[in-house]
Amino acid sequence: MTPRRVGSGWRPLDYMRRWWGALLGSLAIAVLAIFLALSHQAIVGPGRSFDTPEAAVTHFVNRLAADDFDGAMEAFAIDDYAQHFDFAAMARRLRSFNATFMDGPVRYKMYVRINALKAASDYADQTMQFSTSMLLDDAAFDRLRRLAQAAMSDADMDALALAMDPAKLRTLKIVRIDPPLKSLTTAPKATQLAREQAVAVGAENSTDRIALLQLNGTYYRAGFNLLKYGKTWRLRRLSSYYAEVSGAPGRNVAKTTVEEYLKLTK
Amino acid sequence: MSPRPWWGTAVCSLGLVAVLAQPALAGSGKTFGTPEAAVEHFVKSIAADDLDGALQAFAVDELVARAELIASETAKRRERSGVRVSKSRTFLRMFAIKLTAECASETRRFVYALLLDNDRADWLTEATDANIDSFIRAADPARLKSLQTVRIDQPVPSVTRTASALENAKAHASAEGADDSTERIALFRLDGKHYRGVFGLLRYGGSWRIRRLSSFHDGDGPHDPPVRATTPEKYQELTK
Repeated sequence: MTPRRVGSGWRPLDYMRRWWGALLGSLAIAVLAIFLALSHQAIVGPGRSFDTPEAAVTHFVNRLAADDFDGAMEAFAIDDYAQHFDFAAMARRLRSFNATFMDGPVRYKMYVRINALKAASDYADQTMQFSTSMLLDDAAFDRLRRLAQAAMSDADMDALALAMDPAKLRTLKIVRIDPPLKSLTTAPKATQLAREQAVAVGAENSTDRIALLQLNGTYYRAGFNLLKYGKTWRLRRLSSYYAEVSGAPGRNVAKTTVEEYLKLTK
Repeated sequence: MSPRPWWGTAVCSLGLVAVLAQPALAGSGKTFGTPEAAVEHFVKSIAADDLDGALQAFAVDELVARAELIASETAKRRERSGVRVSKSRTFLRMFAIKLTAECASETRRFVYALLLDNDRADWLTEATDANIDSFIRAADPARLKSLQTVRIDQPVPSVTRTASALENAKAHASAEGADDSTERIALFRLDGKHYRGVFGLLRYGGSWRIRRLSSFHDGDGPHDPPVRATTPEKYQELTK
């Protein structure tokens, strides 16, 4: 093997840490109570089967609204992904690989378990972002970012924790779920790309959905990327290239109107 | 100010800074009477391809229990102040998952550092068939079966045993809800080669647990691989 260091001044670890710091700083969370001995038990329960992408999305949103985090995690491709991740296919697709930041080869059980733990952690981050995108207004988001760098008064933190209470998602509803931008995503090139993306993570197919959500009278649009393993669809990302949430740092759900949303379905 | 780790930020977001000095909780899993025992357990588990065993050496239970205690104290404070208290356990569940995954990722870095040459895992490598195949074969954890711990030591004791260093260690531990903290370096032998590993540990009550696979006193900290090739002579220098 003849590995080469590409750009000796570039430290991937530094880059990733800064990225994580920025992301997690903007997504700081309220912490309550938890059970122990996590290393001796499954990190999350077994995934459920979903016959359609819509079923997986619906399950996720409904469980989140019920403040059932473990239930929401059932919608994600944790074990499937961990067991079927194709290191070689992903490396070829990226044309290079950095073992530290890629999931491990699933030929070895140790890496399958680590892949699952890392996937669960990633999905937890995405779920947190999904919740806070709807729970926090811009001022609260700004407060959250500052919290990563500076001390804050008890009163400010109490206000933030109250604003982030997941129970406030109780009235979250799905208005509709659609394939995004059908004129683009049903084109042969797009469907071929979706299959290529799926193969790199050991799945048979991938697809995107967008959803129109409603919470306390306000409409939100969210994007979802899903993978198909066998006959079941599961969530891979709580975002879609087609959902147009860009421009809202720290958020993967954006406020919208019914008219704006409908444009994304055409 | 250096950024807080994400979970520290999370704890603070509940307004929990004031209770960080509360007494530590003992972990519910395996206990290790000495830092060396925790390091030994970790290394033997890795050599046995036993990830769950290796994770038992980390302070996951203690840090999660600590978060639970802090959350409880904060809830009481809020109730006394008339502030509504959330009953949701969602964010603490996320915290536990993140923490466990962080320990697992560190463990994989440790394994890679032993199996691959130096910090090769951190390199960007061209994805030729030969390179991919070579990496996958080299990354086999079963190759660690013959990993042996030659010795475990406190790094640079001339520095780490001074009064100010010990005071700093206790202050560092207190910030994580522990009673004390320390560091260890270890000399390993694998397939005729020697390696040096680094460990940061916390003491909760009578038990020591690994907090991180890095050292403030040996190397550049968390950015360095947790294991490096060495010689017994070079290792010896770090024990003075």
